Amino acid sequence: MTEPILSVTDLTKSYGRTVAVDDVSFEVENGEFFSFLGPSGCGKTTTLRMIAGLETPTSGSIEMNGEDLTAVPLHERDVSMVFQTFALFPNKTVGENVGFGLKMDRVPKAERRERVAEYLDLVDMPGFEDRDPTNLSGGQQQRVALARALITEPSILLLDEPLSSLDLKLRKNMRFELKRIQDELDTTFIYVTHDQDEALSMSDRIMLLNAGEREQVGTPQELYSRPASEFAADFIGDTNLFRGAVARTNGSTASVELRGLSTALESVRNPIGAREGDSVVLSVRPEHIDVSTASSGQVVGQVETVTFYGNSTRLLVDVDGERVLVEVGGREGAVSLERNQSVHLQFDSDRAALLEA
Amino acid sequence: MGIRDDTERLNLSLDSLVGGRSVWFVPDVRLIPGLVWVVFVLGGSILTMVLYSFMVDPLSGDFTITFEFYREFFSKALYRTVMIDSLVIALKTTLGTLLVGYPLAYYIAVHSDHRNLLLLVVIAPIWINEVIRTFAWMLILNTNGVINYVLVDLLGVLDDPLRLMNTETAVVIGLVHPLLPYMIVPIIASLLRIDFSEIEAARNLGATKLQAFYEVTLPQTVSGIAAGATFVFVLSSGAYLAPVLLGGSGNNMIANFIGLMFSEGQNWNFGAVLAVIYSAVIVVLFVAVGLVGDLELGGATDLEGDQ
Amino acid sequence: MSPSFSALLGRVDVSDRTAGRLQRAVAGGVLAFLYLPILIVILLSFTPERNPSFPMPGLSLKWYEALVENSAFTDAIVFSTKLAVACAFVSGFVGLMAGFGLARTAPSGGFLDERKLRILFSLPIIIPFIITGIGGLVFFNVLGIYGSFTSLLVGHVMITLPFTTLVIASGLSGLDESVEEAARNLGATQLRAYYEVTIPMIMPSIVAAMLFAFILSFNNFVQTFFWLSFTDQTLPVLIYGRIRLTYDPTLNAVGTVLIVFSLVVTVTAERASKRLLT
Ligand SMILES: Nc1ncnc2c1ncn2[C@@H]1O[C@H](COP(=O)(O)OP(=O)(O)OP(=O)(O)O)[C@@H](O)[C@H]1O
Ligand SMILES: [Mg+2]
Repeated sequence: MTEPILSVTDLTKSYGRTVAVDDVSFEVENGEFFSFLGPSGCGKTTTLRMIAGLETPTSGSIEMNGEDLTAVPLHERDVSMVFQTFALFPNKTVGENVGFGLKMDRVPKAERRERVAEYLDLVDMPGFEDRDPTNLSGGQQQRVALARALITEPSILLLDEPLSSLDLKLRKNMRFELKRIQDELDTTFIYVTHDQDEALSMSDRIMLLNAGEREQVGTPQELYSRPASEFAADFIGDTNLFRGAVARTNGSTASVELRGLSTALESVRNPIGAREGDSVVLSVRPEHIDVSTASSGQVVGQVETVTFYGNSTRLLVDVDGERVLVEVGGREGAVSLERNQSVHLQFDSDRAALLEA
Repeated sequence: MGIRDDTERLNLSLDSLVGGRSVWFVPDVRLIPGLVWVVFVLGGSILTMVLYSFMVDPLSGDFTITFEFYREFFSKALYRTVMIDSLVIALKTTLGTLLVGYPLAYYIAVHSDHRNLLLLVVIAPIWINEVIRTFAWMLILNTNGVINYVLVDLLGVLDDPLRLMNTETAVVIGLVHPLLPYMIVPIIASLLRIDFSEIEAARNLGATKLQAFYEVTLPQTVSGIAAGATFVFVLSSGAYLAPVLLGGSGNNMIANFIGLMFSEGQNWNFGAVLAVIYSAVIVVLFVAVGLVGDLELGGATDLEGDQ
Repeated sequence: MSPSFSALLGRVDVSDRTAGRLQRAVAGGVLAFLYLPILIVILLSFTPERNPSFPMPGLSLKWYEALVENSAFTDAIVFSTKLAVACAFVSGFVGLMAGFGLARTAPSGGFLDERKLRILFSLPIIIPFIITGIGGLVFFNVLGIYGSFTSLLVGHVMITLPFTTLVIASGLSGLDESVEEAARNLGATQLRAYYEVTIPMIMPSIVAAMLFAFILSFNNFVQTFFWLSFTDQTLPVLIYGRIRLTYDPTLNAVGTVLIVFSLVVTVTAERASKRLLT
């Protein structure tokens, strides 16, 4: 592995009695698209602001390319930030906004003008130099903010929920735009969002935060298929969480009794080293449950609701009073299933995630 | 480890000094010049005034404490009478502003399509020089002033001109006029908070307009009236110009007596006593009103003017 | 008692149209009461006669000429202007700093939280003017600066500080803090960020605050009356002296100038600070 561009160790920030960020450590690789994901108030913004220098850590260290960043005054840090509100300077033109960082670096005017044009091109807004930023649409303001942050060629670009004030359609387009720009410039992006779709679709790696603490770090695939905690399993994607106990262990797998469903899953992968008799939680994604009307399967239940999603159909199945969410891909099966119909469910134990209770 | 902990603690305490928002007892540095101004100049003024009320001559180093000046105040009925008269004039002024101001406030809040413009029109006179405004009332109330011109010369309703100047009425009129905005603005604020569907409901239940106003609207504007009344009462009780220019020698108010002690009379001690006792009355009043109803003085504090 | 009074009110009912007319008439009357005295001063400033009489025999500008030629008035105007300009700048600057401090202080829950600070900063206008007037007189004597320009400036800044501070604080409270942070993030020092971004953004509030301070200082009578020495005269104090002496038609002219000037300045300030006309 290469040297990380940013390494954060035991970072803590408290405001009086509230601990906004609690002992968080992580590393970001050069050129990576790294996201902080978590519910509102989990400390994403605070962590980002500490990297930018807008907030002083209570304790812990932030190192950039091996050097202590906390000793560097904020205006000298080689990181740029895109604010949630865009924070464009209303008293300056678009060109002056974008060129602001260069002006602070005392870049001569002629060169500045050239670079501003170049970066407005990059964000697909050529010729907007003399416009008033307050009269631009949300998406355009967003692009100006991006160009303004990128023009100083920072080693790291910090983005705090940059898409949250845009409408849905624009938001989806901007995801691709951001990825394109990141690929083009090869800058390290640290991206804050509470939207899991956004994080999963854009990130190389994600740090999941909960109540100020680091929950899990990994690629989107890892987070989705190998959640490390009940919170992670629940927060990312939809899942069924079944409570149960380990009946037997066998090397790296375990056999788990599911309490509510009165059935057992054999040879579930056991990365947490659960022992016989331990209470555990089993996370099974809806698409990892097979449904059939034939009499084969682990449990029997009644279909409660059928919801059609176009490319898939979701069923809520009542199994002995417990609700199980099942997803059926494509059009197959969906048509023939109805409310109150009896169905058999088969859990894919290879893809179930064993979690500590 | 130890050093790190110490720097962290230092950072934390610096946080509150520099950009941080959590102020415990070190205020934001930028507040300091303003705080010094208020605490030093205003505090100093009030402190020295209080000192003068029970020290013979602190300015030349005579710090002897005596309550003789207070005793003098309580032994002379004249000053008590002046104090009470001032409060009575203030009360009349307060009632006057309420009676004159409420209808306009109601009109602006309920009917007007140009609410902001009218609000500006009501507030603007606050900024006009008060000496000139009082002078204007002299032109109107004089024996050969506007009112007597209209009544005697123009309409011929009266044979002899009215004596309006140098009366208590003139003082009250001269005070109602500049203080109207202080009554009107808080009332408008409280009227704007009313849900007018309640009035529709009352009218649907058979109440006449006046009944609906009396039963529904008026009670909900009590807080606005109280706020306005407090402002007007305090400001008018301390009036200086109107009593001198419109009331003549017979209608001096407390501020005029206080002023007198500091100019020709040169009895600073007794003037300080008057000022302290007057301030005490005002403070007691503020506290009492504050206890009775929770006042929302915020709405009107940003329109203060002269007085 | 209340029900019977209410029942009495129940007997009076008028049509919507009559009620509307009545309300308009009363509102118009009150507005007339507010502005008529001012209009009379303006009107009389144009009379050619020495003593006011109606109907006016004609129009003339002779009292304005008399005003310009009277050095007592022009000296007072110059002195008042100097004082008010100095006050606007000092009060504007101190108020700017205090406004920043106020806007960046936690709203409540501290020894000096924003709520308490607001009350503290409002004190100079909440306390009756006669008290600050004679208090200042005594205090300036104690400091040994009584009657000096400095003492007047110190006093005027004190009584205008509530306005400058609160107007600027309210300008700042509507401001997105991250704009300043963005400037810092892009390499501006704190001072540079103020200069490049924050100050220009709240410029309307600053201008309004300074205009308010100017007018308040220029028009102040009560305190100034007690703080002035015999050598200097501000315009309001001079006018007061003239009024007590005798009727002088020049006063109408100077009054008209003051009225128009004050209204123009403060309406501009109200608009700039967006306090009313939003
Ligand atoms: N300046 C502050 N003073 C006091 N508490 C703060 C401050 N800033 C943040 N907090 C608290 O710290 C916690 C984390 O806040 P933060 O803004 O980092 O959350 P977030 O993950 O960005 O949430 P969101 O998705 O809502 O933006 C919250 O409980 C918040 O109330
Ligand atoms: Mg946030």
